Amino acid sequence: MKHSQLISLLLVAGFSGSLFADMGAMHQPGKVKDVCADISQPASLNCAPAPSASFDQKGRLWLAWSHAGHVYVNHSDDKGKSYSSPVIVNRKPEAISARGENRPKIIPADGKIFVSWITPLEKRFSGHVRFSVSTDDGEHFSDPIIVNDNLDITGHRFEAMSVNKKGEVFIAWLDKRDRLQAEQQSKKYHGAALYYSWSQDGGKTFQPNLKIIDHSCECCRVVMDIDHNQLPVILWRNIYGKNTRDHSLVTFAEKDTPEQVQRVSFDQWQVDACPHHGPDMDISNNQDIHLTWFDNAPDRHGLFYARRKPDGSLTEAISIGDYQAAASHPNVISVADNVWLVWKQFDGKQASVWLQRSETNGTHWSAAKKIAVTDADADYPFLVRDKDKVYLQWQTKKEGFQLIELTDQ
Amino acid sequence: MIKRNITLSLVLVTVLLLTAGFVRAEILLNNFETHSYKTITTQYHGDSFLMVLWSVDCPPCIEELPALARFHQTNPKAKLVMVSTDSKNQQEDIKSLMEKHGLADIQQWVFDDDSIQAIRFSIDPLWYGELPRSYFHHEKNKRQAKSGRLDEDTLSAWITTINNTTAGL
Repeated sequence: MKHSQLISLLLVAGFSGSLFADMGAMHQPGKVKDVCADISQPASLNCAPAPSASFDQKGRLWLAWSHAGHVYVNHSDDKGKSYSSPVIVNRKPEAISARGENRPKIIPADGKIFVSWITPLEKRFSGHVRFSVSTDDGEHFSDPIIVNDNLDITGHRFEAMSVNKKGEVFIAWLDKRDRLQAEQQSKKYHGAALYYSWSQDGGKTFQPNLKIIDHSCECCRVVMDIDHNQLPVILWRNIYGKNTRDHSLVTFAEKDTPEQVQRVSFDQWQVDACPHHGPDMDISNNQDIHLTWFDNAPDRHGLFYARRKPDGSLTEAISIGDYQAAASHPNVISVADNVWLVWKQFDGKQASVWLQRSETNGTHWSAAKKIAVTDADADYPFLVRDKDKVYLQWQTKKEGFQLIELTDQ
Repeated sequence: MIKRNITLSLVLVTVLLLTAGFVRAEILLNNFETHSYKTITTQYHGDSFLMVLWSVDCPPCIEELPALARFHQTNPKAKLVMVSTDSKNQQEDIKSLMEKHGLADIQQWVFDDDSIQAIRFSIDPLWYGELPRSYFHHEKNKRQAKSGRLDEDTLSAWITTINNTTAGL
């Protein structure tokens, strides 16, 4: 090999290492010999660090996850017993955020498969919201587009996506364009703004971005669901006052008209830190909104559940999970008056997923029970719905991707 | 001849990489495992020290680095330990931030990727992963936890407490 070739090779290796630092989180060198540590292995759902799953109307489970600079999609027709070969979404590799609060999202709707993710850029805390759609049942995906219409090298991250029954795609995310502008004028800007956009042509194009609010917490996931008017509802951790990080919700009067932001948690967690701990919600058939979140204020800490009634009033938040056992990352889903609430705990040796169930729309709850355990590191638990059936999605380092039915639990 | 060519190549590559900033004076990043917190506390024999948990992906963590750097400069004998919760494949980023802020000469650790939840538990079962997270260790293994960005007032208050005790620094 000539000198110049050797040098080029080394420089390319160094550059790639830095470019793909974020995606590399899934290939963690460790003491345990496992196939996932070997980046040369083929892409595998079981090794994916932060997968997302969602059922289509025919009961097929769709999954989005990442490996070596690509988002992959595959599906299961037998509730997780077997999976199709994965299909690459972005043919050109790019860095992909896939760890903890960040992960590719997937929504199958009306024969289309919608996928979103964040590609981090070279500058710290910067990224773009990426989007692609398949119109042939997941065989091919469109060239990814950038949803944020501000292309400054700054934060456009922590996206949430929903699709309504009309096939309109809504995406909301935390956006630092206003913070960057403030900083360029030597002004201080706390946190990040919450922006959103929507597509009314099946994901070919997105509307100009609109801002919902300034000063939201900049490092927690945002979540979204669709209400009976086929409009989005968004829940996120906001910043109140100087540094109080409680949760807020917004509904919409029209696609381009967010209503007044409503504060839904009052725990008064005052902290100049990244909680890395976003909320979750689910809108029931009768338009109740089930809400769950984590806070760590001195007086009110741990996991909470509350319900926003159709008139906008809130039930009193109740504590769930064992605070002493690291109860964290709650997820909620409902089918009619049945509500499932799961979260993760850790006892020093084993990680576990716990369940509480209500058959009365969240007014009464069963005792908490342990429904899954692992003695290795584990992802957050997620609930997915297949019509009136409910499943737990849980990725663990030892067992891989698991789908566990909870309907009768 | 082939050997000579290889040697020449390596020398040339090293010079180029050094010039390009790819290789730097090595910071030792210790692997933080479930027993490491105990190792650190044992190492200080019950003396005062400050352990700061941080991440390259956490804006307030980066914002607190200048305050830590000024504190370190003013109080070079104060015992600081930096623990990054990032993945080991982010070590170049970790090292470059420590160098940039003049914190390269203090003790550095990075979480072992295989047992993040067990490591967190080994430090403090009631730490929920929020960052930055700091543990002010006082004499006789008494400690105080703080979530959130450290400012110079908090650091000064800690050093005053230490200076007022018999052990000092």
